[in-house]
Amino acid sequence: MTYWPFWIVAPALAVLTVGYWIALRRPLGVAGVLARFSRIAEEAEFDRGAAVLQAEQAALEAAMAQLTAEAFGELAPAGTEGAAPLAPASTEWPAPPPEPAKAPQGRVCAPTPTLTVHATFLVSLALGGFVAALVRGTFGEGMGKSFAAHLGAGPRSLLALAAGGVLVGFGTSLCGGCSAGHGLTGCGRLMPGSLLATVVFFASAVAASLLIGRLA
Amino acid sequence: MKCPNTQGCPLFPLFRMKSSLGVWQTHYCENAFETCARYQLAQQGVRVPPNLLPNGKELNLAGLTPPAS
Repeated sequence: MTYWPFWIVAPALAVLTVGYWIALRRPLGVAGVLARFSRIAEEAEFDRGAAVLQAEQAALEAAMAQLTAEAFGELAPAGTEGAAPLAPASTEWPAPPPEPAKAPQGRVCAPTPTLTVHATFLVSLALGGFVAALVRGTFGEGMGKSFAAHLGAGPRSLLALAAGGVLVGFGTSLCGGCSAGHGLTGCGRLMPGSLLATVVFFASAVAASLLIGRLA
Repeated sequence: MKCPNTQGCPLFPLFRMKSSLGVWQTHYCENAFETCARYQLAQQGVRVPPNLLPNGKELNLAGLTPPAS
């Protein structure tokens, strides 16, 4: 199996990573998206909660007025209908002087997209791989000659893929990202943890490749 | 010092728009944001529940029904 030259792929990945951030204000990552689907019930509950907050603004304001009185006591201004009577002061915190509004600092992320958005991302990811294989005429070739030479093409290869998948899932969950999240986005943002994770990813990959090559 | 997460926080626009709720913004978003439960969870890389308030209490979404007119 031949791959596209690095001088095409590398700029394309850079454009994709930066473009993803500019378009969505979110860091590009695949493992994190997959992880969301592993806890789909909780994520769906969060999505429903966010939708309720958006839809029930009037009820939200009334509920918040009461909670404000409970949290801040007499510091909370009365003025919203439905607000509970002010509770006695429960904190000694003095009201600080208001600061002038500042522009958002640092790298501000947009809110987490809904599951539907991330499901679209995953489906598009698979679709992109399918189209690329069709265009290159490699659809149905499996994992390539190198993979077959080392691990065969039968049950042994399936076992290797399953074991590799489990290790990748465990590792990315453990370190909070995969080669896309840490390697592309994290390194692009010079995040120390991502730089370290990427060094370990690739050093481990080289070591594992050499070991499998010797054992095969 | 202002909280760096205000742009993505679903509660911040509410605090900013409603003067009766501005005390949350003044206390948490613009001053002691390190003590905000939402900020602390976000710092851990955990998705923040939409109903979690800055003081750690949770808004009862099930009881969030439109007020009688």
